[in-house]
Amino acid sequence: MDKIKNLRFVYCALPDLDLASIKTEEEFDSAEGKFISLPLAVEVEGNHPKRDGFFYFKEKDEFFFVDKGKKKIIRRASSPILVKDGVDLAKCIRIGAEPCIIKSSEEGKIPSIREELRIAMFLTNSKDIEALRNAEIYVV
Amino acid sequence: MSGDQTKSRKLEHVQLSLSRDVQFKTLTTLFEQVDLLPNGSPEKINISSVRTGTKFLGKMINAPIFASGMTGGHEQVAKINFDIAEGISEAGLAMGVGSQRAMIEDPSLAYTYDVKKEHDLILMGNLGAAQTTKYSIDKIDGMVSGIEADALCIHTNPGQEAAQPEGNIDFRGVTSAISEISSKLGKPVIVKEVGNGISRDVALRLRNAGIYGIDAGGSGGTNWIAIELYRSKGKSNAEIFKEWGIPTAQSLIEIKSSFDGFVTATGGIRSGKDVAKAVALGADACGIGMPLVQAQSKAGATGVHDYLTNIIEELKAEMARLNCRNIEDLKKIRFNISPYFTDILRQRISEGKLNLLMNRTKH
Repeated sequence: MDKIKNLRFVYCALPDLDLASIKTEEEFDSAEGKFISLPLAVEVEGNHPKRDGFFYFKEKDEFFFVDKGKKKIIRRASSPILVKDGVDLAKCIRIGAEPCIIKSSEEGKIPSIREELRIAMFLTNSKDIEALRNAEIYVV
Repeated sequence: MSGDQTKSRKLEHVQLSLSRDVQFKTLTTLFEQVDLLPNGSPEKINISSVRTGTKFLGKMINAPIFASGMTGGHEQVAKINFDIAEGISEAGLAMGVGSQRAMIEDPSLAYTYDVKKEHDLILMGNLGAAQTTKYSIDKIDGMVSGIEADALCIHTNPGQEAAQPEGNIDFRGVTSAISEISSKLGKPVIVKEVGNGISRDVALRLRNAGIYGIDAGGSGGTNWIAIELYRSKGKSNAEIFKEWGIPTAQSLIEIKSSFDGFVTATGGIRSGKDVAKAVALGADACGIGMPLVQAQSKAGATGVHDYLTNIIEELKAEMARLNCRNIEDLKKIRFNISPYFTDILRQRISEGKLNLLMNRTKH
């Protein structure tokens, strides 16, 4: 979290965007094909979840999707950043530190985190994740 | 968006800004990071010989201060505009009105903006950026001419709209629309933010759009995202954006690095010293918003006039301290910028522009 604490996005007063149509998903590759998801995984321990979704397995330090009950590994991770809100997630995307993770107890916050990310993208004139990676920032 | 919704929103805005604490909490204007330095003249200036007059939209005003456009569009807020106009007129300054969208939707509300009927002053009309793609040039021209405005301010406010329960969140085509209005309206067009600031790059886009002026509308004063969050009663996803924005002093410097037209500084201007600092950093004038609404709510037009008189006296005192006889002297005054602020500017403006700025600091 220290990596992103002092980052500040430059507010864009004239985004050439419609907030409602900003894309917050990113494409991930695996041996089994491509998966599209918000770059935010739920941290899990023990057996892998039976429900579909995007997860991070702490013991093996890996990201994976569960698709129709089957586990598809995306990549090995390297100390992914635990985020608390959509601005944290936006900052991590900006510095190339996504996907990020959220505790399983906070999984219910994902829809609001997605909307917060969308607003952050709107206010930085970022129409998609790729544009957000180039959003203007500075350090305070 | 119905006319009734717009109208009731206007009243809510004023009521919330007067009853709640809606100032920025952590972001400041960064003017406190700037110190103005007296010029080296051995001759000390008496405050009574200081002249604060300056040009504004081609006419002289008594000081580089104007009332920022805030309200209109509801019968209960009309008196605010009328009292501010009276105070401004007596002080020999300029003013703006709030968004005139309400009078386009309901022409019977035009009188709430029509301050020039009673007072001879420089007046700026107002329209939201998100509305520029929805109304024809003729309609906008009619709106501006209808109150005999000398210029049009287009306020851009994506942060406020994102937090607003009924916000206009589609800003596609706005820059092109602003450019078209600038070329066809026949009056100066000034683009302003409402408290979250204008960056270097946005200033460059506005320069390329051919506008006459930019108002920084920076952070550090009234927080319109906070006002909309109160209105949304906990249902907004914008809570964490409450302290987003570009501080007014930083925005002013960023704008000046990209745009050499008419520039004003609104957002947290609270004293004559703030005005002096903004002018020294390149502002042609400073806008004051909420403090005038507060002064009006306590003591009507007299309250507004007293507030403005006090700020002008503070400005004169500061200019006397700096050995500045007039505004032209103030524009050339040297200053110090803190290491914290300098580090931010180093990341935000080109080295060449930063060097020009640093040449005015005392080494």
